[in-house]
Amino acid sequence: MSLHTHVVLPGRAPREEWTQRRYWLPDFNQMWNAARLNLADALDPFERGRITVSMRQGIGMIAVLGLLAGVPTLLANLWLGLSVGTAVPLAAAAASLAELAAGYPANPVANEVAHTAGLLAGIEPRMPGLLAALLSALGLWLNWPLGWLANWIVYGAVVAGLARLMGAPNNLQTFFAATSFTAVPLTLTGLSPIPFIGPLAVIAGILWAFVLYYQAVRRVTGLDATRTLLSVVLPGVVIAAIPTLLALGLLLLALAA
Amino acid sequence: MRDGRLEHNFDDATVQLDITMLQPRAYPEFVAKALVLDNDPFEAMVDDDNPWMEGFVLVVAVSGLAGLALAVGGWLTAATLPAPDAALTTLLQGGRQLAAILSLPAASVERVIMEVWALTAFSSGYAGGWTHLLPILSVPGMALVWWVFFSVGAFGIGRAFGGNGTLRTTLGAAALTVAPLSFLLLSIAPFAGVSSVMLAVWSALIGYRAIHVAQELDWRRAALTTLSVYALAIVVILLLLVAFGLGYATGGFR
Repeated sequence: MSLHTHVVLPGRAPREEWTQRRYWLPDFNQMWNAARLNLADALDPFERGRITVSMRQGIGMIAVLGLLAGVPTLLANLWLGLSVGTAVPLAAAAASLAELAAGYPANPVANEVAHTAGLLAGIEPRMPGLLAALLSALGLWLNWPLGWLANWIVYGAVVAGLARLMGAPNNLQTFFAATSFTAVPLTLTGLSPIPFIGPLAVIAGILWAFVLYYQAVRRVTGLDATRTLLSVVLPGVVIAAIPTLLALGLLLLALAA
Repeated sequence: MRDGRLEHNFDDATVQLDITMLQPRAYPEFVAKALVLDNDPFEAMVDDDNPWMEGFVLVVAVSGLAGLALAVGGWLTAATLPAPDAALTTLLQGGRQLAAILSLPAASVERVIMEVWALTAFSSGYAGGWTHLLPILSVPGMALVWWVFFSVGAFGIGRAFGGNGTLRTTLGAAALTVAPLSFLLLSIAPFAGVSSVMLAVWSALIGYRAIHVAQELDWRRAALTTLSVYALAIVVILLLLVAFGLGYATGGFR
């Protein structure tokens, strides 16, 4: 089989498809429809009776929206790193420990730890401080889409497996393409650095994303409500249960000792 | 015939057929298509004249680039941080102060800090030296071992489940399991981290597709084969850990 086999029609030069935006992203209307929980129009905008959005477009959308959501944090990190003239994680650790110590002024341990962290952040990095702040902020910014992609693939693989075991006839590409729209409401989590509004936006974004994820799984698998809910919730319950059980076990061991 | 391509003019269309072997320049497209679980690259690898050689070159190319990105990223990350000596001096100073506050022996606190420091600085490459370059060798090495292990395991188990692919075609298709390592190219930016769980799960999904195509199994058997290979890998790792533990406990490696 050859990937280079193609037909060139006269008068129509072969176009570099991968250079077009639509190759990498669904259009804005599809994302808007997903945000309104109108998944029928988001997944099948031309009413062809099948899901036309691709997994590739899903990855592109997660990458772009992840970067977009990370912009407020990027700006906050740049502000912090540039003002201290060091790598952002060091500056952030020093700032949060100083805040913690300020909350417990009578605690000498907290004060000493904060003082040491402040001293560490104050040491000149090996590269110019400006560059260290810029590069580290950029790296942390990239973690936004990378984290979203990780959650999407890892959680999705388990949910898709469970749905399949429960009788869903879906294929993996369609499943991942449909569930990628969860990135749309998750964009709200990018507002987290804003005081007061941030935490509310994060909660709203996660709840909204959960509802959209449930709808996407239901639409793409064709399962009934109970089995869809089981497929979506069970991996989360197991993930939450493992550390809880481990902590309980450790606690019991400690008590026994 | 022109540039390795067979062309034929029909009345209103030109059909071009590429009859050359796969080229490394096609690898980015293969990797991209494997990431979205497209069947094309798997079929192309299975149908290749020399699938295992093609797979070997693909694994080395992708993992080599990933290792290089990790090495450069590790070096850049270390460069964004203070000099290790100055950082260690500050930490020891803080440790002594903390020991005084908590009425702990300063020597013990210093020893703990030194031990943790030595381990962290060595494993992260922060201390400098040649440890920065370790990923250039370790990532391709691990990728090659995993590729061979996965392919041989998938071939054996797949055959037991009724598959009819050969080891050569399985090696070719399974080479695409390294595709998620391409995300490690982003590790070139300091503090950018790629989840190893994501790499493992995405690689498993691609491995499932590879077995599905190379062994021509139905989805259930292909999934069982994939999971069995992973379970086998866990058993092998546990056995190695037990062997290491026994060796260490009986006085080896000291």
